[in-house]
Amino acid sequence: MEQNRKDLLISPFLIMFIIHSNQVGVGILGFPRYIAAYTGNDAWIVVIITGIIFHVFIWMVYRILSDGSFDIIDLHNKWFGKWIGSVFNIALMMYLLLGTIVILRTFIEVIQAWMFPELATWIPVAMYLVLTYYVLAGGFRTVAGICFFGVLIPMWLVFTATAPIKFSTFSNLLPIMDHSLKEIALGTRQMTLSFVGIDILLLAYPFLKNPKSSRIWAHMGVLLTTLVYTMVMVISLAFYSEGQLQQSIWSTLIAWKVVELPFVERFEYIGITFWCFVVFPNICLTMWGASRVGKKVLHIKQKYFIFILITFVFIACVMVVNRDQVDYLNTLTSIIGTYVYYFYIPFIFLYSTIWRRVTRRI
Amino acid sequence: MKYVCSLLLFCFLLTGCVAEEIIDEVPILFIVGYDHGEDGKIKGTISLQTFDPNQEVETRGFEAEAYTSKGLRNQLSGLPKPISIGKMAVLLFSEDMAEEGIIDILDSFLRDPAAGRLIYVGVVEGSASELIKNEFQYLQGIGPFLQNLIKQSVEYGNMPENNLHLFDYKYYGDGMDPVTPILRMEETEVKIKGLALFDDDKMVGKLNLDEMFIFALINKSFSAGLYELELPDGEYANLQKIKSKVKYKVENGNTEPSLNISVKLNGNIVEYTGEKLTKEKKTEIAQTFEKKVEAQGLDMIAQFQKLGIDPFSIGDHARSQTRNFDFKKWDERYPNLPVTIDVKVNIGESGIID
Repeated sequence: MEQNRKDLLISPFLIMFIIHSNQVGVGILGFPRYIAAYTGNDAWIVVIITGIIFHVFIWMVYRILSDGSFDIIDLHNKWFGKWIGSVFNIALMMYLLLGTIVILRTFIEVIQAWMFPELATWIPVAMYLVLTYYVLAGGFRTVAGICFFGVLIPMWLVFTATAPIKFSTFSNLLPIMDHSLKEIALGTRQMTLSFVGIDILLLAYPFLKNPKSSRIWAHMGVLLTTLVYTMVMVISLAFYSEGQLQQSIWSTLIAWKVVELPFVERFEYIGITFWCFVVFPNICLTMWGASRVGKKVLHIKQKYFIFILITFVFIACVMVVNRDQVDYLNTLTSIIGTYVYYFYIPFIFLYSTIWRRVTRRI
Repeated sequence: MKYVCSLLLFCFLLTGCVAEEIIDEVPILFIVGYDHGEDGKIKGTISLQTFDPNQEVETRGFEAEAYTSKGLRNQLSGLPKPISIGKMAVLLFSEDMAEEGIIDILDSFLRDPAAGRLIYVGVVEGSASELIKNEFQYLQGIGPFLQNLIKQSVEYGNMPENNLHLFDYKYYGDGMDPVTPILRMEETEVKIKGLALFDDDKMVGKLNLDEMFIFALINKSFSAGLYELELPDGEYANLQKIKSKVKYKVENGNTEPSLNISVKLNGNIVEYTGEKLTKEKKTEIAQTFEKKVEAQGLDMIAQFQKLGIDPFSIGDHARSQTRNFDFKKWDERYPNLPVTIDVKVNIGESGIID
């Protein structure tokens, strides 16, 4: 591996920030109502269950990558041969690109719906993508740095949760476990989209110093995500009545409306502005992942391939023009994400285990 | 350097992307009142303020008629634009507007990202328009004045918590109904007259100030202001800083429901017209208060059951205490729900003299 020189590697604890920032995106601004549609007041249990499932996925991913320091692109080629492996790799790239488009376009929709209704889509897209190029040009270490600050800088927003608590009715959470297993399973499937993002580990693994010891940090990343999501969910359930929550498209943002500060009347504007920090690492990470595939499979220089990707993402984002299309894009990603996590990852996990057994015997 | 230059370039490019709104030029809206207009239209009255760096704050009232709340904006032709509703503080409805339902108008504020959720919604006995036009009496304008009036009644007085968010909460929630304050213009001043009771978004009844106090104590744990209590012997005692701790217990929510409300009250005596405030006297005051809260509470719930409304969120309490709760059955049973209230009053301090 030519780029595995020491100065290109990152500290293992950074994987926590990478995973957390890739998981948390725009979804957190509005996910409670989609989960509550299935499980009502038990939606917070669904968040915890999904969190636990993702700990299992982390374990699987570390098992898949356990020998040597290869990323999934190398492993695809090794296990399935060059042709089928390339098909897998290109599919992975498409999936990552879809992730970029969904998060970028959804966030810009938030900006358009909340702050600047007359803002043309291409302007923030262009701004974001220029900045993305700047970060990607700095290599993976810069991307990891962006993830670090993308988690730390907006962290203080957690304290704003105290404002909606003032108007909350926590008896809304009772009675606990009042929904059937089927409803909870459906809620978990819906919740998957918000937790999607640990797939970046499949590509970032060879860039970690002592990759094996980084596992605990990866689990910490998922734990942090679970905690944040559970907090948002519990407050949403207590702050809104069930019917009201179903009405609210961006429930987390609407809850910010009751934050009272002497110098600003609408706190959401500050919240949305800080959310730029949350969204940016997502875009950088997925674009970086996609460009890795371009480099290793298509043998195009990463520098040039990023240009192609940026153009593609730009055109795709500008083509989405209204709420319904954004919604469709999110549903599509949710379905594909579900397949990636519940079929693809267990599949390659089993495949890698069997492969190892077989090759060891020979 | 290349990157820095291109980033700087973007900063300049961005300045013309959206229409700018300068605080000195944008009229800021604090209050809107809605009345019935001609042929099915809504009559909206606003009071707005323009902030000028060199002059004082300018307050002006406007009036227009249209079919929707946002439509009123088009009709306000004598007004500088764009109007900002970011600081909107109070929405007032005339009583006959409220009786026909107000959610269509509230929708305009719930949908708009610029509007807050801590806006107070109020009902005016008489005309909302006349109340707002009386604004010149108040130095800071009628909007901020009413906002303070209601806010302080909630924080230090006897009014239960209410705002646009809680109205919306109770409107969309099952097993609960909203309440709002009632205001009235009396000669030269605006007064709070009690609470308006809503069935969904239609006003169906009223509570006077005395009932509002009891309502606030029973509704949920609350900290009320001052209350004048008449004793059986004709003396009066004033209670202050009354804190209530409330527990709702619904049994057999799905079959034969029954409700018990336990109210624990804690208060201080700050005034007493009788001779000497002995221990026995204190017990008597506590017992009188207990009986009063219990009797008035039961009356109030009976009134709610008759009207088929649930401002105490009893249905929601039942849901939180019953597995697989069935709202359909509950709605049938609610009018005949047996209710008991246990009140326990504890007199804390009684001032610095006996």
